[in-house]
Amino acid sequence: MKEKTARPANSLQLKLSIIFIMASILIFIVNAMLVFGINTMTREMDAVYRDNLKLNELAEAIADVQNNMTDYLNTKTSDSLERYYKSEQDYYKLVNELNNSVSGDTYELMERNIRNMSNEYIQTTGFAIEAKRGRNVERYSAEFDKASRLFNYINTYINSLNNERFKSNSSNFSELLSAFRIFETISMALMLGALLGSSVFVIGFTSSIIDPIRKLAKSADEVAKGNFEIETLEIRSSDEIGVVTKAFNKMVASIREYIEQIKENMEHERKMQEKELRIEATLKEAQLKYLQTQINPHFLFNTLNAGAQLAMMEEAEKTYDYIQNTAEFFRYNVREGNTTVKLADEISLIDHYIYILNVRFSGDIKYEKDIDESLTEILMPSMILQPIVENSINHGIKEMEGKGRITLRVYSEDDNVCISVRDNGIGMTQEMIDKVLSGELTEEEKAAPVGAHGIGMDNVIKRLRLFTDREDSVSIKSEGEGKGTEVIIKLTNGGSENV
Amino acid sequence: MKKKRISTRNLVFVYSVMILIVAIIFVAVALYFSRSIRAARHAGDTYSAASSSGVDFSKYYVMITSDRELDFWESVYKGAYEEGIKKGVCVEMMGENLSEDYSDTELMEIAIASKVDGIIVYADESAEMRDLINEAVNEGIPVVTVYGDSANSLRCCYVGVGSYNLGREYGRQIVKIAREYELSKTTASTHMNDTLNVVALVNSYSDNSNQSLVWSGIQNVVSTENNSEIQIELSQAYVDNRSTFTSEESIRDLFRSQETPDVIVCLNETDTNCVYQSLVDYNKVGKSAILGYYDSESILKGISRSIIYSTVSVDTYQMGAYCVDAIKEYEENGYTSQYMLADVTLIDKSNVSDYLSENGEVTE
Repeated sequence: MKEKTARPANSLQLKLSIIFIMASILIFIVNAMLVFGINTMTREMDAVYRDNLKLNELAEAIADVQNNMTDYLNTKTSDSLERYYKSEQDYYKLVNELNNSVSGDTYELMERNIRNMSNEYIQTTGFAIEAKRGRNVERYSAEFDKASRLFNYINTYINSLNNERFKSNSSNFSELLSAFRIFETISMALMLGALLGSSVFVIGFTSSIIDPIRKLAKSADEVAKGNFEIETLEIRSSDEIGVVTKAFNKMVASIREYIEQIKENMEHERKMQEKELRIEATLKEAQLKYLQTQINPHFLFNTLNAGAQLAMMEEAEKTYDYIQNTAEFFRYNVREGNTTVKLADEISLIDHYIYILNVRFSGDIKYEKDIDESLTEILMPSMILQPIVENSINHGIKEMEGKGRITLRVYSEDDNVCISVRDNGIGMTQEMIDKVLSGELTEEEKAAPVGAHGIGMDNVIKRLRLFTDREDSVSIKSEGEGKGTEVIIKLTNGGSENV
Repeated sequence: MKKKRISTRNLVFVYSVMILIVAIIFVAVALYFSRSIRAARHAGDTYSAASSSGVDFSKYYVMITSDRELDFWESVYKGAYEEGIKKGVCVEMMGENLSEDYSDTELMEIAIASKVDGIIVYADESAEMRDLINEAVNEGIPVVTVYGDSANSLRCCYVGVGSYNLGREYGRQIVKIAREYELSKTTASTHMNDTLNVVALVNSYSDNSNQSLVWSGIQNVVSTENNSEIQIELSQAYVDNRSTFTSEESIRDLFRSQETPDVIVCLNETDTNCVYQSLVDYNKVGKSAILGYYDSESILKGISRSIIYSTVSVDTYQMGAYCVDAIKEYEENGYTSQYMLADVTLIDKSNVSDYLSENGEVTE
């Protein structure tokens, strides 16, 4: 196959043109032959009775001569004489067309006889007319008798010849007719044959053109449905269809290739992501393991418990309380497994935490609670409130020298259990709030307030959102600089048992 | 479609082949038909063998006789015709193809008016015939009389049988019959007459010298060679031959009116056939001996059945040929012999079988 896009060697147009032209030529030739044959036949048929017509003419002409001569001899009018001469001329002309040679053909001999007798007859009538003009009665009646006899003979000859000719012509005619019939049948058969052959061939040829198109259409349909796994089409011809088929094949192959490439890329990307995630996870795990190995919670507990007992023995009430609270706080922090806790547990953790902080910072933080006790049984993720409170203290009220206040409220609102942590600290800008809620804080911004060991706000928010499956589970309100911040957590009432 | 890959070249090729096939079929058909048409035309046009034999004719002779349907004349014509082919002459039996039945004088007129190159005519001694012959000769058409002569005319030749000799042959047959008659009379001793009635049938209305020659031949032999005790009585019966059917009627009259003659001499084919048939019809077979003329199939059969005693065979073919020869010779030399005689053979029971088989073969 040559690579030729401009115009294929066997273009479709050429092929179709050839089909039609050839078919037309075939039909034309058949027709031309038929017309020719029929014409020939018709000519033959016309010729059949020509002799008879000629003889009839002859008979009429001689009758004219005879009548006119008789007329003249009877009446001697110049009118009849004129007519006689005219008819004699006519007859003479006709007679001279007759055969004059001797041959073995009886008809020709008869013609010859007619011709000779006619000449004699014309001469005799001439004599008769002449004698009449010369008033030679005896002679003209004798010539008239002779002419009449000759007239009879000639008529007999003409009639006989006419008869014989007619007989043979009739048989000729019937022969010709039957030949014509046969010719008709044969030509019909010929025409039908040509038609049939032509049709079979045209059908065969067009289907050879249409077939690839049909296959192409089917394949195109398949491709349109999204199935690129089709067989490559066979290229049969070098015409436009061949070109299109080739292009189609190429196109399908290219599309397949592109898809393959895209798939490969996607696979690659996915693998990369997976790998990244795995690395992160292992890192976290490692960090956790590290922390766990560092702090043995039971050891810490026991230590703190021992400290508490020691304080009791020394009757140092305050120390005892302090150590006891600290122990409780840490116990909550390091307990294993249970990530879902009751709201009450979270609240008591806050209590411990605030106590510890107040001891540490000599009661600087005012802590108010307004809790609907009926709602504290609700389940929630652990370690949620403590980071929020820690955040409030660190950002909001740490610098306020004893005027800081934390208000914890639990109330129900529209089927929700709302937990509000409010401070009267420096507050937040709306920009800041948006950033926190959307988790767009940079690592430094996140890390700065709580330190490396704390749990960041974004972690809290994520966990809450995951737990509640709600985007509005956490909201932050601040009325501006120095006017405090309120963090509100919304938990679906009764919807939390499923975790 | 199982067709694999129809290329343009194949297409053109197949179409060309189709066109070629169509053309070939057509040409074949056309050839076949043109030939068959031509053949049909020829078959219709010609019924004489001559034109199909492709002979070039330079002359045109006609033969005129009023009895052309008789085997005798057909045979004469055949002889003339075939001789004509040899000499480049077309010989036509005049009046054969005409719708009207003309008498021989009328045919003579037609022949003269038609300016034929030669006339062979079965003439008689009538003045009318003589005048016509003379007219023809004056017009430059040579005339040969055949079988019947017009001795006083200007005809260039007479071709016939030796009538006198023929008469003598008849006479000898009569004498022979007389002897047989005598023999049967002595042995059977029946009351039979001592005379043998012999009737010769002569045509009443033609002044034919042949008849008289035959007659004198018979007379001569009977008077000189009859050495039996039986007296032979010769007489003539006139047969009216003026028109077509009169001969037959005359002969039947003969059988009805007179006492049946012992021997009937017939001098032409028609008379022979008529006498033969009458004898059978009137139940007189064996009572009369027929001396016939010509060797047609029926006459030969009559001999083999012993109804006809004997007949004479004229070599008619030779006679016809002589006619053409005579005219041809006259044309070339300006003269020819006045008489030409064809061979005559007697046929009786002893040799009839030869002729029967021969004729049988010919006629079949």
